[in-house]
Amino acid sequence: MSDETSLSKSEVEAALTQMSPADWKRIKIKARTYSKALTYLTADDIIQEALISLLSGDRVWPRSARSVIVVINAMHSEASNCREREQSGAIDHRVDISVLSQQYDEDAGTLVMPINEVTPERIVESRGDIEAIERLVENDEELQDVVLVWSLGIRGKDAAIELGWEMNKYEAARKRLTRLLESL
Amino acid sequence: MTDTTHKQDELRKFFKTQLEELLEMSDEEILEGSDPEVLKIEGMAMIAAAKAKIGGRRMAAAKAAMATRKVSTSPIISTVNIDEARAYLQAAANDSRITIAARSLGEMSDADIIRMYTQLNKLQQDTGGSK
Repeated sequence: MSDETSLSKSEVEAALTQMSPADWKRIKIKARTYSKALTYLTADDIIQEALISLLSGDRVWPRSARSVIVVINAMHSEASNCREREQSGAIDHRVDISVLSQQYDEDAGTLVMPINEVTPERIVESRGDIEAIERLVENDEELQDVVLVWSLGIRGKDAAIELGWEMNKYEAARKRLTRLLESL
Repeated sequence: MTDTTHKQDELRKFFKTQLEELLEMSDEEILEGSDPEVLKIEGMAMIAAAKAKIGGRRMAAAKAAMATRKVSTSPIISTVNIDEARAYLQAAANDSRITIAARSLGEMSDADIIRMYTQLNKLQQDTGGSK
């Protein structure tokens, strides 16, 4: 249902369908960044869960908002919620289990064996702080500097001044960091 | 602020700044090295996949609700003889795995006997048991 402040389901679908290729790419880059830094969900899973929440009407689409921002905000919520479930839930989502016994013994319970396909490195990588990003650029000093200023909330011309760089040097580094995050 | 909170706060600022930079970068710069047609097609495919998943979840929920209604409310159509059904339930009442008050069987209507027989029989089939 639509109202003055939010889009109806059909309007949401129309807005998504009209999104430009550049905005789809922005979405992919953000999904890969969230996937690397926040959760064990893949980038595609994060995008799909966000689209499901919007298309089903579970998540409101503010009428005046720019589509790419609405989708990215939804992805951030999905990734953050998933991360909270991973951290606080009774079930460790990083571990698959295999049932060893088909017979249920009321006293002993069912025997299971963990099959952990997530490496310790991956667990450390996605623990939800800036180190997850810093680790990606540990071999590139310029990119380390860009990550540093972004993590302080400084960007654009201000970031170039903060770093003592010409603007074109900053823009080249920004593009390189974007390509790196896209390639994850 | 603890070290962990501080690092999480830095990540939040990084995400926010990255988004602002991505929005500020021109479409040409963003699209460099990519085929816009492919991106658009992938986007449409993701919308279609999300819609299919919504439909799948809705169908699964509807099927589960229907199954619950069937068990609890649908009339039992059975070809089993009422005496056979009573005998089956009587035997089941003596099975330690099943809790049926044997004395209440004699007080139950034929329809209730058939309903309970059908449910128990299905339960045993579902769990790999046999009549």
